[in-house]
Amino acid sequence: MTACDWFDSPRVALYFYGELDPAERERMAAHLRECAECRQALEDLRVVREALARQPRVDAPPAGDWSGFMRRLELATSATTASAPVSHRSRPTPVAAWIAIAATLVLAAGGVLFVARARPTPAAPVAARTTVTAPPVSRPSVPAEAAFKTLSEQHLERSKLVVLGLATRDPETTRPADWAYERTLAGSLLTDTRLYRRAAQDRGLTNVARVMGDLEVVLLETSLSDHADRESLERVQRLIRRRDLLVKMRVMGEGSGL
Amino acid sequence: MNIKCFAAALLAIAFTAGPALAAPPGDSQRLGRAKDYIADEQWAHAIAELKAAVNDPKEPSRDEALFWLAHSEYQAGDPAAAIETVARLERDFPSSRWVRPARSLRVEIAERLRRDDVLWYVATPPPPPPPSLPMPPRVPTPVAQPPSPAPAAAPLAPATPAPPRWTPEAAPLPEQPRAWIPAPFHADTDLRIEALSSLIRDHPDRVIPLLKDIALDNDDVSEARRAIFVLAQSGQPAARRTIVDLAREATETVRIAAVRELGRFGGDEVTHQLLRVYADATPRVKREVVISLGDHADAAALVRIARTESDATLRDTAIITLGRAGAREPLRTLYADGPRDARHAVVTALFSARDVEELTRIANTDPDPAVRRDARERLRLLGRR
Repeated sequence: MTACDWFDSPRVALYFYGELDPAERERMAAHLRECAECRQALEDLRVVREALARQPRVDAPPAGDWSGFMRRLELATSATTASAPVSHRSRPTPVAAWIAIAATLVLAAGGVLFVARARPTPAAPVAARTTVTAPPVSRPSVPAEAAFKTLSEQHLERSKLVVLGLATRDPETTRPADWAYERTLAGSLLTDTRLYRRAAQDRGLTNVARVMGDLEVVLLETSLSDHADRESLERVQRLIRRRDLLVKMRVMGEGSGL
Repeated sequence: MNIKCFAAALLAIAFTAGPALAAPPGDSQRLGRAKDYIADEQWAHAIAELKAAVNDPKEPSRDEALFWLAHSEYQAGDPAAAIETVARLERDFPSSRWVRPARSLRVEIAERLRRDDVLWYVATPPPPPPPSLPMPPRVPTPVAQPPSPAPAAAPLAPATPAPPRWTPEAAPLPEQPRAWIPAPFHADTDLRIEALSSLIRDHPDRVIPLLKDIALDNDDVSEARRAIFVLAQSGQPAARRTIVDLAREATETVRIAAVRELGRFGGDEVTHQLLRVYADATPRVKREVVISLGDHADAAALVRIARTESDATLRDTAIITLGRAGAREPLRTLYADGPRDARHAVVTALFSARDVEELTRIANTDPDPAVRRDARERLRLLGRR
């Protein structure tokens, strides 16, 4: 939680990507001089961009099907069309939120951002014709299983940053301090991963449970091991490869494997 | 000559291979090999390497090896061995960071084997610290009186007051299952949540209040959120009512988490429940309710908020959320008879709903030039002007 309204809005991200108009940009620059939280958020975005700049586009969506991608991008940018700021759904911590936004934005690139802003979510068929005089309708609930799948997708999306960061580092040049960030982030994701894996098992969602289980092993190894040397990094990379974790996460993230 | 060559070759071999032969095989290399076997899910090979590692006093990461051994034993279908290994890890390395995930593994095995006694032992909240009792007043000892007999059936007064929420009548303190947990310990909150999530299906009446306490009393929002997640996941009506209570009673951050889970996993009554929460919520919680209603595309509830909310920011959020839900008709009505200062929000929402027809009408007829300009701009973005 933060007291800064600017922090809660997507302005920092839009400023970072040069999407603000000149007047807004000037106001944002002035605000950044005053607000340490927003400065930190901007710095987080820079760190993420530098990290992702080294990555191959292994998690780009399959050609021709951008729907899931656009939906997440819409989530990240949806508040830009609103006169009032609207909070994002998945924001356990400010850093994680910026990471989620940044990862999505970096992967989609600036041009896609513009398209997304000009292409809002297609109109949902439900309730489109409800009149204002009608009494509130008790709508059929979103099935819990679908909700859990969505939650799992969001979690995998957050976790992808860690796995990508680990998978694509060059062990020859990586020092222990260079992947300290991934180690810390892995630790913060571990408890939720375990909880979601077990929930998936309870629901009989074996594919989700399987991916979460593989992710859990990677996160355990990354966050808890005493070793951060070259061999350890290579071993984690082998683990990711042998379990096909990135591919599985991508498939799950696209919603087709759930 | 041949002998010289042979001797030279021997020397060369000794020089190059000597250090390797002199060094003990294994230690961290052995652990590394075991991890590669784990990556390949070759559990028998992994167990063999790890057993050698944990019994090697020169192995610098025996605690880590013990954890992976327990993990591999469980994966290989030997939960009894895994439990023994977890106990050994706790005993030999009580302060190791690997103890925590090992305890999670034990909870998982206990659930699989339906050992509710183990789960209850882990889920039990730690007793409160004993309060510092005031010194009793001094009573002068009577000199020449016979000692008064002790009342035969009077219960002994407890040394410390009973814990506030844990009474023997409600639920007796579970006995320590020594075969599973040789050394007593108090679980951290996340481990308790894991155990409670294993118990909630069979014991909802006991588990739900404990999860509620965790969500209410916890300073750590992540732990509170996880407790609410377990409640929401259970699908129990009582759990859902508890989430509604949390959304109305807890701290603001926990209320937001509760609204989020309510919206995500809510059943048929979710609209009613969300509106109940909305009635006495803070602006931040209200905004979360609006977003949840939008996720359910609940246009009627959003319209009600758009019409009745006095906070313009919240009202506009509801209107824009209507647009994302594609609710064109309610937006047209709101434009016609809603507050004038909401028209910019309505235009934005119509843009989200891609209602070109209504935007065109507004762009041509609205008396406010700023609203007309706004509508034209939106039409341009939609490629219609």
